[in-house]
Amino acid sequence: MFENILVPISSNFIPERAIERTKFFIDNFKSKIIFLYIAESKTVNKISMGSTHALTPKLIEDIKKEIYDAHMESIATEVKHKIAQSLGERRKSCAYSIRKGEFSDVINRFIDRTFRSSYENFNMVLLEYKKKTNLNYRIFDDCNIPIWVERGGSIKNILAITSSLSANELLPKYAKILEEASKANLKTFHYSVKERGKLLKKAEMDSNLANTRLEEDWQGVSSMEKEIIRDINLKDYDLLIIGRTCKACGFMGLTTHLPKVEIAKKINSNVLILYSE
Amino acid sequence: MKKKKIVFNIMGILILIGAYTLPEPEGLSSDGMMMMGILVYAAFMWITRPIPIAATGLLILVLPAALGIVDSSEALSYFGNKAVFFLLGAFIITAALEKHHVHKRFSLHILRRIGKSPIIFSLGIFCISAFSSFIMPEHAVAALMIPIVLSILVASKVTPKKSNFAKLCMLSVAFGCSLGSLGTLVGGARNPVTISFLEETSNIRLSFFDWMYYSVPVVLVTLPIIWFILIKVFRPEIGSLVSARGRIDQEVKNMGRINQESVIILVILFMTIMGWIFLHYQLGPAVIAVLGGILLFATGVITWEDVEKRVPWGIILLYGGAIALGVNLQKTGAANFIAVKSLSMLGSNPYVILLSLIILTILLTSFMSNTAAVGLLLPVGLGISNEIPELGPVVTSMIIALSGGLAFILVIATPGNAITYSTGYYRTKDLFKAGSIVTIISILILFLIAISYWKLIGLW
Repeated sequence: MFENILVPISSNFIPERAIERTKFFIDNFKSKIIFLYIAESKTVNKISMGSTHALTPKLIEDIKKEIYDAHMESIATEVKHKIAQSLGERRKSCAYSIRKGEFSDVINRFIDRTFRSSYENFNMVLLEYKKKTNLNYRIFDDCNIPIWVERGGSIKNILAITSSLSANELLPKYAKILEEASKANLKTFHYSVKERGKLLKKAEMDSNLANTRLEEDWQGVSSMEKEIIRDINLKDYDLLIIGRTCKACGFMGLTTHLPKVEIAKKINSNVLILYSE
Repeated sequence: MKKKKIVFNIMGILILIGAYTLPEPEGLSSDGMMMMGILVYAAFMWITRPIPIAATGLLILVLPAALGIVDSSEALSYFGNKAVFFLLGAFIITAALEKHHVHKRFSLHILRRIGKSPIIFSLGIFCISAFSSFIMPEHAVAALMIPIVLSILVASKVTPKKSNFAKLCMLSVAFGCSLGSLGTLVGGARNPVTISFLEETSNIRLSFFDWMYYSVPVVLVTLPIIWFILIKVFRPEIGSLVSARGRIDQEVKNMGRINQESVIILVILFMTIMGWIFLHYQLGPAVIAVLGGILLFATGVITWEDVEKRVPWGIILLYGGAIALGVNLQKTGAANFIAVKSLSMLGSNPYVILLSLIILTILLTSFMSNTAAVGLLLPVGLGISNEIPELGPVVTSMIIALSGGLAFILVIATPGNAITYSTGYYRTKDLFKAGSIVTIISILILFLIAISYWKLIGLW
């Protein structure tokens, strides 16, 4: 479940909390952590904003190469040093990879094995969301493996939620394992969409989660994610696990846009997003 | 094509149609009205950039001919302007400096000798960037300084966006290049465009030395003040640069002894600069620059392939267009019309007008190429000098040209800002924070020098 964890580190900022969290997974699950350092092209490409008329394509490429080379050297020194400092002996469970490109694109290609050579399949992406970093977090929409959004702090109270419309069978399993590993209190919810006073597809959810214990019902009128952002008092929880399948269908059977980025942006506790099929 | 670009192109065409169909106001000829339309169109296209800005330059070169304002041979003759060939020669010399890493060698040797203090080190970077922009175009200096500064920052193990030392070094390059570009005709392309414009419209000839006589004091006064502001805003967090010094020593060692080609380039560069200073009136700066460039080919230190790769041909089209726009606005009376209308709002106090010209130019150049901004405003400045004889054309033109180099706030404002920002070592808010203070101080210094030193030396 947490054998291989990918931790992307953009050249735009070092996710110190995410690096810190890897200790939890190494200690409890013997996870292998693959730090993927990304020399972010979005920032480097800003060179074209003001210079294309004044610089030749060759000069622009030369400058970009110099910048990428500097970022690549940074991983070998500064970032790797910080990781080693933070993880100590645990760093033996870590591997490093360096790529250049756009943040989300590189992560996706790395997970899809089009951009790497020797790693096994990843079980989770562990990242830190930060505003004003000029990063594109499209990864939340594109990625089909669990994403852990790190906010820091110890985990004492866990809240796990799944939806009646697209229940995720893995949620109880993840919740249980994390509860045991962190010795936290776990609370589970199933969310049902109520439309004109009627609950939608309750039966489907029940069959999917026949052998699991979900303690409380929670009903709302809009999407689960919107209700979570709006209603739940998240100060009471250190980790929020949200489970859905990717089969969420909207109008005419088209996949609906799930506001995962909004969750990462607006929720201040740690979040594990399970949107697997 | 992106939707936005299509919309901007359509809006641009609507501006031209508007100028063609709307009745011309009193005091403006129909040709003048059309030129006003082209002026607004050019400003719009240079800010929104639905087509490359060089293509807009080419378009405004031919539009007056296409619309029957001037005949085609006259319209295209501006492309053969002296400023265009001066810049071509300067670009060829810069290409040779780039190819043989002459600038890198020179910069590394200076940085090696200036001690281990981060503050003094940043002063070194700032001064090298500024004074290199006296002999090379500012964008080329920024491009050449970046690898040097990057290697120092990597060796210093500083964290991008967090390290004040990194911000200080990067902004020293960006601001140093901008400020240095004011100093000579070579630093900023707007400078030769300005002297060509003055020659074309007022028959006033300014030499390379004249330009320096008026502008270098601005650079020399502003330079230490800007550096002081930078070290106050971004006080370096590291105490010593021992590891960076090691890297510089290693790079100097890797470069080895100066080679024959570099010596030849330095000799030709020296001869060219001497020619610009002492033979300006006899030969003209364009002829001297092109001769310098040809000498580099003749001595075999550069090939045509090197020049093709390193000369930004597109920008030369922009200069041709900017000069043509200015001259046509002047000839059709549109420039005078804008000046009269502006003066009716500002009054006729020369001090207020000078300050307004500085602020307007900086605002405009923050959103478009500074050559384009200066090209748009030069005819207005000339019109103002016609209305207020106290402010001669040299004063208004110089104030516009120098203000065009004072764009410190936005990333898009100058190539130096964009290049240093793209390294990822500072945020836009850092640029805004330091740039806002630096801009205000620069405006005041330029204004004070214009009303004191320039008066003292009899410029107005």
